[in-house]
Amino acid sequence: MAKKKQKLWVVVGDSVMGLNHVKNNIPCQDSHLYEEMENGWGIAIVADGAGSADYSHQGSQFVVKEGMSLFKKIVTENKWTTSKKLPEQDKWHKLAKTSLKQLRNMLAKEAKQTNKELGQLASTIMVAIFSPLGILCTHIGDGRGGYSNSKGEWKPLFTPWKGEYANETIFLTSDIWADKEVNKFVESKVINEKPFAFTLMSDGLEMHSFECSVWDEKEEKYYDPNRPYQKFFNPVVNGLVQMKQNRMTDDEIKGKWNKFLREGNEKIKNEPDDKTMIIGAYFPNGTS
Amino acid sequence: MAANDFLAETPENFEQKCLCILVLDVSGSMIGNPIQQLNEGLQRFKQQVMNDEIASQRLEICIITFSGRVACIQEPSLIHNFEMPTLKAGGSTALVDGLRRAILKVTTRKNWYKQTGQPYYRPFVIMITDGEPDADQDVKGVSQDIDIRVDNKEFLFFPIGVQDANMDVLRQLSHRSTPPMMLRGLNFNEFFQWLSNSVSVITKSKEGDKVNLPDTSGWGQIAI
Repeated sequence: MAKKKQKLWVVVGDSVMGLNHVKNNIPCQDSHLYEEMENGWGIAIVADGAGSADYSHQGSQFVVKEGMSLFKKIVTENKWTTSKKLPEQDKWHKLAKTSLKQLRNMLAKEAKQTNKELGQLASTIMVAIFSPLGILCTHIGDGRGGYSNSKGEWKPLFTPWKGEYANETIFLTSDIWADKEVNKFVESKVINEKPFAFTLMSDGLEMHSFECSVWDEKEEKYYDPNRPYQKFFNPVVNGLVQMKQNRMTDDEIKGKWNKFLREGNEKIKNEPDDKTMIIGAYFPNGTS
Repeated sequence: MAANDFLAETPENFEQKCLCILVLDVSGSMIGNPIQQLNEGLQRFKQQVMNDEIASQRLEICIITFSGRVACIQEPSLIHNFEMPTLKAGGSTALVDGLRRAILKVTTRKNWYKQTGQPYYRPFVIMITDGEPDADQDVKGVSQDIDIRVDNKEFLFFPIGVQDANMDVLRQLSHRSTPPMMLRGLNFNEFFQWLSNSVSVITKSKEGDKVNLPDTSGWGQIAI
């Protein structure tokens, strides 16, 4: 009998409509996917469709689905799941950038085949390849990502791209690829620290889980420390771990997570924007 | 909350700001029913914004009136921090001067946001008029200025005509992305409901080349 693949992570994620989308009958424009591969390696992707694009909900769905295939292929072809170390920064950035450009071209083809403009499918993308050794991440646009080390210290995975306006960002579909300065828009990082947990989220949840607009006494102005809020993430991860230890099924945990994203507290409940968050916690001895 | 539910504390973050400048015609032609309806609409607008928890924390309202003279009667402020004024009508129509004051206000307020590190949205400038600008008003000059600034995404501009407004002038002033609208009757209540909803959309969706605002059929029609 084939040996069952042992899981080393418990991961939960969901995308729920924000209040404004519910009120105005706008579809959820966020999408997400996650999948554990082997030896504790896995991939999480979040995409947030542009509010100003008519079919961005379809764009974000396409991006997470095809993005998952592309990044799984990278992990497999490079035999990372059996490697003792993570790739170098330069190598990862080149691979990530090439894959994201390929994904953009696939989206352009999809747009053409479905008689749409590419911009109508505009979506951001955030990718985290998690492993027992560390995390590889890449992204275009806004949203937040974070991870915690074994001491329970939370750190950001990347810096969201924000324009002059609070709701202004760039997308996979934006005119950034021909630019000689494309590296300003595609950020990739190798985190060489063993992770205890990680998160990816669309910007609809950033104000509720990250410190992103706080007062700097010295400079006497507001700034964005891009700091995952420990009092948010540590209880959430502890809850996830306990649910798994209490032998709740993945579906039961996902149901709890969906409820939390919909109405976890008053602020989350009243959030107008769509809300997506993926949380993963590492179980070095396996999840069952 | 039941056991085995997810629990979390949320951080205190400073809210982003969305500046909305109302440039209102209070010239003599607004005397009577029009100014009364406008005042009622403003009160309704205040109530609607106050009822929207997010908008009430993000929306900064500034009110500029123009008749023979221009006055900024309400500096940019959150809805909870001021009493909506009761407007009185009388005098001529220095419409362009009112718009110039609004453009200047957009620039100074954005500089203030930048200096203090406050995140902000693209401002709205809403002009409501029922008349003809005074003869000395440089409509062509300000319309060119508005075109360039809206192209540069400095702000969104919505010219709204009421009753006998000269729609040719409003068409000249407007940017191609937001053609002038004619208020149906004195439907200020519906207009301000739309404005409140629009502010919600702007402050809750990502910036793009196109602005998808709520349906305007409840209060107006595009001037042809």
